[in-house]
Amino acid sequence: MRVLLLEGITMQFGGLTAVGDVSLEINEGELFGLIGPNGAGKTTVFNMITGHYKPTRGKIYFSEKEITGLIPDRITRMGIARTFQNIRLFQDLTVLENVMVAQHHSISSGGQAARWFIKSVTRIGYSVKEREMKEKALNLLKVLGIEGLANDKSGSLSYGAQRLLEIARAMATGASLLLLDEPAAGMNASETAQLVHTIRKIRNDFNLTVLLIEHDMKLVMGLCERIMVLDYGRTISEGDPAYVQKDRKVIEAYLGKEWVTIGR
Amino acid sequence: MTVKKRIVFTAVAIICLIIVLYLSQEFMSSYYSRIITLIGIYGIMAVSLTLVNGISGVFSLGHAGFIAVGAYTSALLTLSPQQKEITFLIEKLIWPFNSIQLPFFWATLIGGVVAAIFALAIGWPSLRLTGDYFAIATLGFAEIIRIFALNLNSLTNGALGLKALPDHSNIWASWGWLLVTVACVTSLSYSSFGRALRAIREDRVAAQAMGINVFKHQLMAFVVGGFFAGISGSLYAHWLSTIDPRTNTIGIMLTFNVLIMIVLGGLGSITGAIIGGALFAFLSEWLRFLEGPMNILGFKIMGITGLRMLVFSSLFVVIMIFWPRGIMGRREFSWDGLASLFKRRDRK
Repeated sequence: MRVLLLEGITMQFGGLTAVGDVSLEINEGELFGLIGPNGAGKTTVFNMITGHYKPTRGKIYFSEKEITGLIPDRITRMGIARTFQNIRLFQDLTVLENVMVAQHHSISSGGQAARWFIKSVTRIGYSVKEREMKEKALNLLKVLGIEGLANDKSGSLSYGAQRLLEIARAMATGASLLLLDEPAAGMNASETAQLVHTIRKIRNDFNLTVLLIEHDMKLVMGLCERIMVLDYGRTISEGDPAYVQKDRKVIEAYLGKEWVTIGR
Repeated sequence: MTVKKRIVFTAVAIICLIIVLYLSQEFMSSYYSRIITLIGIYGIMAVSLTLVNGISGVFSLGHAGFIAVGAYTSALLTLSPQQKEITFLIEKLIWPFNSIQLPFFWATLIGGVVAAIFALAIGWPSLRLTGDYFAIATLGFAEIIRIFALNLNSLTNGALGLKALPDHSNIWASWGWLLVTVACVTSLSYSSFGRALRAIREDRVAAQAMGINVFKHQLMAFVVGGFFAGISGSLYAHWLSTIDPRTNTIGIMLTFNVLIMIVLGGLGSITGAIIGGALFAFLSEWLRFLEGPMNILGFKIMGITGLRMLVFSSLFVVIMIFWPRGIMGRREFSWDGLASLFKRRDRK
């Protein structure tokens, strides 16, 4: 089943075309990689999917429903959650609170909001929900192996742990599609190997679809089932890792034209 | 510490507080009990502004506007029809205010509700702005409210203001409402909603990406803050026994005073807000001796008007040097915290 469909999305900032006419289809349960040199427009694609940017042209569908130009929180509530390339945790909140905040929309949206508001001010029938959220959060932290840090301020965590916390937080929103923006940036080799294992595990255990941006080629080639390569905002290649690795255009984009001719 | 133990401790503390307040009411001069009443009123003002400026992180400068709305609304409801007839000299008071009189409690509650409606109406457009722009917009709206109060002769009696308000603001009213305010704001702050507000304060974009509707949550905090500001306004008006539209009664000066309280106490801490409010009320009265004639080392000095404010400000500068984030920072009082404080002392 098709989860995400991008139909010729284009993003122009003034005269600059950051992303031009990109189309993409991701099926349920897939691990999809989005790669490309710096400035290729990968994060811009993420920002359009999650509603932080409104595409200049083109349409985005999630589970066959159009989501083009909806506000970010609405899109998250529909089931797409993301992590950020430059980590954006709630620094002054504890690790546990960070994950619990991501579940807040379950009581603050729709017709229930006013009822839950009164419940939480009067403390009548509220503690059950609080406990439920806490349990779910602890469970997610356990899955990612950072449950021991639950009561630390998230700002005090190591880089690697902060990245894992971002994934836990995105999962806590109850999303079925995760967008991971460079999840391995700043991790060492063994942490990266562990991350590959973890991402595969959460995909299987939580029935998630994962779209990720990454510069670490070992991670991408080892983990992703399908890959799309962007360069200067345009799709230059798409296919399984073996195909993409051999694609002349991809080698050109990463290493330059000369290398291709000399290398042959 | 178990939940049960904490509840027992809190209950004992509240009973102790009631006894202390009773004793001060009985045995202290009316001057001191008036100051204690003012501490409660300032506490409500500070706690309600902390919810908006400290916990939600939207910097509002319009607090005095909501205090004014609460003050005028409740004053119009508690004054007797005869008194209103005497007071409104310029133009007659419009119906229905000219013929109704309500008990103080209901007048205060209605004052709060009307202030909350104003907060909704002002927050709706202003919360589309962020940071400094929001601060300026709320400052402007508060000034608009004051100007209306100055010119709506048939409702507010214009520049003359309302006088001879019944002396309802006693220790019990002010501290009772303070307790209600603290209970509501604390439980809100420690619920999922409070967590979401703090998340928005920390990172607006990330909060949005977690499915939180930023606008709705900030508006909610603004309206709750406005409600309690209205309550404090009602108490303040009946403490002053008069209300008029001068800048230092309900204008920008009042907003800045409340702002000083919460920054002094620690922006984002409810405990800090109460400490800041108490300190402000206490110091601004206690330092009055500076303005009287003094005898320093044999030199006789006549009272200097304004010296009090000079010392007051210098004191704040000193406090901010030693505690840059205010007395409490973002910490809150808790029984566990108090227990660990004593434990640490014992070890030494």
